[in-house]
Amino acid sequence: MSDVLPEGISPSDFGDAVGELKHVVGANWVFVDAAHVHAYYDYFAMRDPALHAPSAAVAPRTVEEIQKILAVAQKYRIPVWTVSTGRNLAYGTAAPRKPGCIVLDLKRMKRILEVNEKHAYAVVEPGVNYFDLYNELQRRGSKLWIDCAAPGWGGVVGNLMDRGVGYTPYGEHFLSQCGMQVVLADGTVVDTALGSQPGSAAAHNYRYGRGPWVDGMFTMANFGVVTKLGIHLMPEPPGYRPYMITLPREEDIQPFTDLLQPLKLAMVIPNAAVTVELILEAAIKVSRAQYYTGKGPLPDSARRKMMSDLGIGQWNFYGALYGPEAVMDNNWKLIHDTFSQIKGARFYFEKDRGSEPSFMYRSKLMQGIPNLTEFSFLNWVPDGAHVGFSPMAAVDGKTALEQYRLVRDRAHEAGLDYLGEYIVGWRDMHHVFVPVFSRSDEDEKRRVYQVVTRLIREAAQQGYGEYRTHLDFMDEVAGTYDWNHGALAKLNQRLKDTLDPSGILSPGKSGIWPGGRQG
Amino acid sequence: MLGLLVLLTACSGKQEEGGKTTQQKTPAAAPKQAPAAQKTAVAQAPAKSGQELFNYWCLPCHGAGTGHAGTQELGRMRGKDKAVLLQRHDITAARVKHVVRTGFQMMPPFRYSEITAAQLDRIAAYVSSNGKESSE
Repeated sequence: MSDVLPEGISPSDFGDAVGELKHVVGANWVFVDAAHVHAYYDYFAMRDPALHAPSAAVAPRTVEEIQKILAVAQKYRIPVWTVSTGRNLAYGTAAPRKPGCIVLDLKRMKRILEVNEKHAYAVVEPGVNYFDLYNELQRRGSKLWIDCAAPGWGGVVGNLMDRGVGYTPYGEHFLSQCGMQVVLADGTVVDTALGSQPGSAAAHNYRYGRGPWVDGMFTMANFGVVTKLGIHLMPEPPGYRPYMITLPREEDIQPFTDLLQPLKLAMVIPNAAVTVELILEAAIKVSRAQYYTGKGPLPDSARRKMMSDLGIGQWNFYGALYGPEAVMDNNWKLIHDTFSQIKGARFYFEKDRGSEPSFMYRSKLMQGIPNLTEFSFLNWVPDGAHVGFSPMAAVDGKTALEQYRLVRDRAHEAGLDYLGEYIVGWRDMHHVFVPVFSRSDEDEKRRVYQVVTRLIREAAQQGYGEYRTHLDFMDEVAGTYDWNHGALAKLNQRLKDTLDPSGILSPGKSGIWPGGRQG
Repeated sequence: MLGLLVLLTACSGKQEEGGKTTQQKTPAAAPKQAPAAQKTAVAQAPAKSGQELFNYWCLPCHGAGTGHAGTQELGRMRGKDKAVLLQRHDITAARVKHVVRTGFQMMPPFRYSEITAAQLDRIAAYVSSNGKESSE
C-alpha cells in the first residue's frame, strides 16, 4: 500500500474508493503500491517529499472515465490532483500540493485529435507532449511549426495551462490557445467559446465566441479538468537564421535591454528571445568542479576563466531572424547596428558556433524542434536538481539590472550560484532564476528553500510578482497578490466554492483551497 | 539526434496495453463533434520495438555526441568509455529497469502511465544487448 492516506479517510473507505476506481479504468491503471506511487513524488524536492506525497494515482483514457473518477472522488470526498504529463521538474513534477491526494494522471490521453494544415492549428489531449506533436507534423510532411518548452517531454496542454513559454514567435503559449474542453467537478463537460455552438465551423480559429470568455479562468487553477485544447501553430517561414550576441560585463544587461525593448515591441525580433547569464550558459557544457571546488558562489577569477575558455559573455543573448532573405538581411542590419553600441558586444551565427551544444539546442528551440539538452545545466553539481523562481518584469534596462542584482545578491548570501535568464517576450520578461542544488545535500536544499522564500517577499516589496511557482511556495506567492484586502484571492475563492463545493479538484493549486482552508 | 526520434505511427481509435485492447467510447455528456471536413482524428499507438522505445524515451539524453545531458554526466562520473549507454557492456536489464522506475542522479523515475512494464522489458533488453535486441 501507499505511505499516506487522504486526510480524514479511513483505510477501509480508501480501499473501497480504490476498488471503484479500478472498476472505472481497469486494475492496471490504478496505482497504490508504494513502489508505483513513489514515481509521482517530487523528485527534485527541497524538503521532505512526504509533504507532497500522493496516496495513489489513477490514469484514465477517456473523458467518460474522468467523469466516473470524479464521481468516486465526490462520493468519498477524496481530492484528486490533475497532471498532464507530470514532467515539470522545477515546479513539483507530478506531486500534489496536499499529501494524500490521488493523482489524476492524464498521460494516457495522448491523441492528436486534429491537425489543420490550412488554418494552422492542432487539437490535442493532455497526454501529448512536444515530441509527439512535432513527430506527427513531421510524419505528415507538415509545414507547421510547434513552439515547445525547453524540455521536449513537457505537455502541450499542461505547459500552456500553467502559462509556460517557448522560444519561437509563438512563445507566449496561452496566446496561441483556441478552444478548450473542460470537465467540471460535478462531471459536466463544457466546450468553451465558439466550441459551445453545435456544429461550430471555426472553434479553433476564433477563440472567444460570445459572452464571458472563461478559458483563462481554468489556467493555473483548480476549477476543472481540461481534456482537449486547440493550439495555433506557426507556418514555416521562408527563412530562419538563429544568432547569438555576447556581452562582456554584468551591467551590460541594462543598456542591452533598453536597446532591445523597441526592437521587441516593433517585432524586429519576433521570437521569445533569451538573455542568459554566464553560469547557466556555461553549465550546458561544463561543470562547477572544473572551475572551482570550494564552497560558496563561484569567484570572479573562475568566472573570467570560464568566459575566456568558452568564448561567452557575462550575458548571452539568443534570437532569430525569420522571413524572406531580404527581410532577414534588413532586420539583421538594424539589430547589429543597434547592439554594436555596446562596447565589446560580439555577434555570432550558426557557422560560428553551430557545434556548441548551447547554440545547437537554442537554435532548435527557436524553430520549435523539441529536445532535452537544457537539462545539461543540472550537471553543474553532482546529483543536480533545481527549482524555479520566476518574477515578471517590464522590458526595461534598469529593472533588469536591479532584479538581477537582487536575486544574485540573495543567492550569494546563501552561498549559492546565480543561474538564470531573462526570457524576453513582446512586452514583458520572465526572469527565471534556477538555483541548482545537489539532491543529496540537505544543507544546500535548505538554503535554496530559504532564499526563494526570502526572494518572494522582497521581490513583492519592489513590485515584482512571480508568474509561476513550485508547490512549496504556492501559498506564499498567492499571498503577495493581496491588493485591496486580497480581493483577487476572494474572487478566486468564490469561483472555487461555486464550481467545486466539495473541494475535490487539486486543492491548494495556486494557493486556492476548498472553503479557503489550507491543507 | 532528434531526427532519429521515432515517428509514432497512427492507428484507429484503439489503445494498447499488455495485450488488452479497449475501445474509445463517447462520453454521454461530451459535446458535438467538429465538422467532418476539419476532423482528422489521429490516435497514436505506442512505439513498439525496444529500439523505437529507446529512441523515444532515452535517446534525447543518452545519445552519443554533444548535447546529451545523461551522456555528459555519465562520462564525468564513470569515464568516457561508460558515457554512452548503448556502448556499455556492464548494464544488465535488471539495472535498466531499476533506474527507470526509481530514478538515478538527475534522471527522474518514469511512471507506468508513461512506460508500461512490457515496454520497459523491451527497452531493458535493447540497452543490455548494446542495441542488438529489438524485437516487437
